[in-house]
Amino acid sequence: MNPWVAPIGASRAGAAHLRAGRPCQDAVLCGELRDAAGQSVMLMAVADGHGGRRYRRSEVGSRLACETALAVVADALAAAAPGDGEGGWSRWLAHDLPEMVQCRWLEAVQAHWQGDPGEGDFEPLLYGSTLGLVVMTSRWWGHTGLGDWDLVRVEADGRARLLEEENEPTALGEATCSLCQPQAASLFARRAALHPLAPEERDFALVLCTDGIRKSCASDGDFLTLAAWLARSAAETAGILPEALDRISREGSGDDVTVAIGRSEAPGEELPPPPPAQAKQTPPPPPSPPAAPEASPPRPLPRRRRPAIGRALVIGLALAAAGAGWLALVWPRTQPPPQAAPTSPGLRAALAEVERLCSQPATLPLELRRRRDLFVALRQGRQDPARLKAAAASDPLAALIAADLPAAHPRRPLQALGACPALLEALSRQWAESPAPATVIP
Amino acid sequence: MPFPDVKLANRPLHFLYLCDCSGSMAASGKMQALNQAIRQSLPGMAAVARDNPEARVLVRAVRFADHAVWHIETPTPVDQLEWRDLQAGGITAMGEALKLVAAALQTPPMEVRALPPVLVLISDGQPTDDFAAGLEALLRVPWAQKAVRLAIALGHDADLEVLQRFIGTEPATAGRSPRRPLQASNATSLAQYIQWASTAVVGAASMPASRVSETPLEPAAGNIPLPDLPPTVLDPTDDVGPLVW
Repeated sequence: MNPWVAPIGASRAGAAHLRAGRPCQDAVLCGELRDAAGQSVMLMAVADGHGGRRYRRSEVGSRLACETALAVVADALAAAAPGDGEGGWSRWLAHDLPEMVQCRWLEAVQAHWQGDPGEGDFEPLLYGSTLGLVVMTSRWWGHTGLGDWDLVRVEADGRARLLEEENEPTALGEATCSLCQPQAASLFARRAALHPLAPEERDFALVLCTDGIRKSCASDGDFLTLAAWLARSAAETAGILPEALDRISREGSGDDVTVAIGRSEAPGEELPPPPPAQAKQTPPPPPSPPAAPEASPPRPLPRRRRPAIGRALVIGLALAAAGAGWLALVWPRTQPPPQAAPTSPGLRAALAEVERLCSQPATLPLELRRRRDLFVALRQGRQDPARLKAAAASDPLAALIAADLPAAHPRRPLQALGACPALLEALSRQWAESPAPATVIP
Repeated sequence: MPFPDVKLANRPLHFLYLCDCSGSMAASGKMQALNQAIRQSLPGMAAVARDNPEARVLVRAVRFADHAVWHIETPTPVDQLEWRDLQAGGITAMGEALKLVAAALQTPPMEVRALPPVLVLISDGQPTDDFAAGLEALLRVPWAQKAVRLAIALGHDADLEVLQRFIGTEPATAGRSPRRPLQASNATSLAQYIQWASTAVVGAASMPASRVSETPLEPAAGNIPLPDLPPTVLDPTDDVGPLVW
């Protein structure tokens, strides 16, 4: 049985667009399809037509993007499933579907132009649009697309975390990837993923939205709280969405705003209310310290700080036994490594930063992405990691990033600082996306 | 369900003047003209800000002579800005000014969700320090890469090559010439350029439209499509009055 409830969506013209007399250039499409075995498959798509004068038919381009995506998915479901089970579907999301979507979107926009030719020559740029797509089946769900859409997962207890955002190095400022680009199909793979649907986690919502919503929020915490509220409210009253979207645009970015919401439900259950604000959530327990006996801090400290200092002391004790090997990797050699307790303000700051980051795993990728230029500069040797590590007291996050600069040794120094898997994974992703200097062939 | 307790907010638009205050600016009333042009442009800029409530226009200014220092360090809402006169005297530490701005455009303190900033460099001479190092530091910062960078040359002694490097090279597009520094040869044209930057450009930057990202095959056509200059100054090299500077 498919646990997915039929997705719902809404798209509204932004406050600034209304004032300027421009149409809504976003589009949304939700639907229920059937696979070859007659099983129900849900789909939701959002698209954001570029607003510039060069893209003067982008409101058509975004609508056709959603319609094309639905048609391509319907065709694929009607045909035989790709081999290799979920692996096959995964490749389909990343490669086969994008090829078909781009090809058929180009045909669709060209046909539109032929039916209603405008001034000048036809070019796909006139119809430029992003596309975000989520496919939900009884055994898995997956996403793909290109451009500046966001995807949030909202758990049954109201916790929300960002699953997908645009992270293209060329997408600077208001620039974004688009279906009208010649290489569009190849850009989907970075935004594509398939998630098996485990029986024990069949109670969550997916919120897919165009960039106007996130840009309207003062912080990413606000954005996640808003996404959780939208998921919950829409589950109760779908009619609430247009009014909510109007308010978001009016009080925020002024851009067009679009959201689509899919929900997987365990029988007889429903989503509880979201927490009042994402930042106020109870943080998960701090990561486990390295294997060593827990020691009491030297003196009582405020409760919030205690875990970090406690862990630092453990690290310090482990360090004494291990001969300070890892610390030499973490901290500059110009600083004497701390002994039994972390007296160094830099180390204290770094430990506190690790704790803070790991207590907010949902916003981790965002925080690291903001320092993207630092990742690139370190990769390319334009920043001195030793200098950043020495300045850990004033900028602990930069010091942690510098300490994690991929090196020859397999063990990552941040593991010794108690970095949680989410932090290590988020760092790895940033490193993977930060280009190393070009190799010079002698 | 009531709307949640989240903070919705318009997006900050940082507007930065980088003003040459070297000794030569004292000659022929250039300094006085610049102060007057900026002061007179503020009401128009405030009106544009009011017309675009989705953007929060925040103004800062750097002065550079022997050294570069903040003239207005705190990002100030344009309707609260009171322009204090700049004074001329010293040499032209333009490279230092670019480094100062580069530091201010780091994230943080720059907000991730800010609109692309607008940088306006105004100079009547040649840099006396390491301009290339300053420009390199500036262009390493993503927000500087995203910024709308404009340059105004005062008089014929301004180093147009340096100003062109600051704004970058942008190929000619249909119906438009490649971007060049604006050349002000008298107080009138300076005032027009400042007015244009602080109103038309701010208006365009306040409501940016998304666009296709740059690719090797398709270079970006500028971060924000710049509005046309006023009809009287359509060509930035046109004289619009008597040559004074």
